[in-house]
Amino acid sequence: MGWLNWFVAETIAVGAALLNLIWVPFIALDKVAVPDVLLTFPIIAAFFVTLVHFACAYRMRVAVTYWQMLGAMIVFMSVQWTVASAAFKPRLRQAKASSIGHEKAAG
Amino acid sequence: MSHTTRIVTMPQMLLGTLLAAGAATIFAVNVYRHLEADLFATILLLQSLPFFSAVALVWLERLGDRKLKSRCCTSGNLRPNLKLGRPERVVFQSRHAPLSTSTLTAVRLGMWNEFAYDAYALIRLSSDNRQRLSGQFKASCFKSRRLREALTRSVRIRCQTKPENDK
Repeated sequence: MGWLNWFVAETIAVGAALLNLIWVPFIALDKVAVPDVLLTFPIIAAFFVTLVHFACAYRMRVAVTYWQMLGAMIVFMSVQWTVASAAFKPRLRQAKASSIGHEKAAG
Repeated sequence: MSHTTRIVTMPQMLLGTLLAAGAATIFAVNVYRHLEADLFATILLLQSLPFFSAVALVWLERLGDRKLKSRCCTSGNLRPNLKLGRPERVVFQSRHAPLSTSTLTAVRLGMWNEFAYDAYALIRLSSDNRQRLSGQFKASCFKSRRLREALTRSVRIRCQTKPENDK
């Protein structure tokens, strides 16, 4: 089950990227209320905690230089879309098959 | 469309470009320099990194392929498919091409059947052994057991050879 959180994380990351894209015109045209500065601190803190956690955990397990770590990170990032689509496509197919089944049952 | 010009990472390229363009737009229109808007733009840029890295890796792979092609000229299939045991026609050009780390690792682990570039690797190895390798090879020459034997004992790999100028 270890791979499951990887699949889910990559799917959420791609989903978040797509949703952020939808959000862009609203931000650009100033159609949203700007939140309080205090509310953005947890986001920044969470990002840095994740970054430090990755660096520490990776260096504990794998004896590599920082450059090699960066390379590993790039390679890991590059499969994001592949993993997300691999996780998402079977679900889509399943949903399509079930909707066809429902239509047949109704018809 | 040829293999070299086909864009295999089109969705990634599209999404990455859209995210980067969105970030640039927000940076540009945020004249009052709201920290939150700038932060959102930075996040968009960070989110585009995985998509761009996928594109970058594909181009890196192609660059590697091009370098290999400049060393080894092949006719017929560009990448010999040894798993299927097809006879391949390989013309060897560079006789002193160095071995890559991945090739050496594959040799050490005995992963020849799983390794995608085993034919190239064999050509490189043979170049180190100063063996003339030009002409038509039979897939049986590349069987992993025989190859390992050839590597460990440093014996000559038996195959049909032609002089290099017989291209």
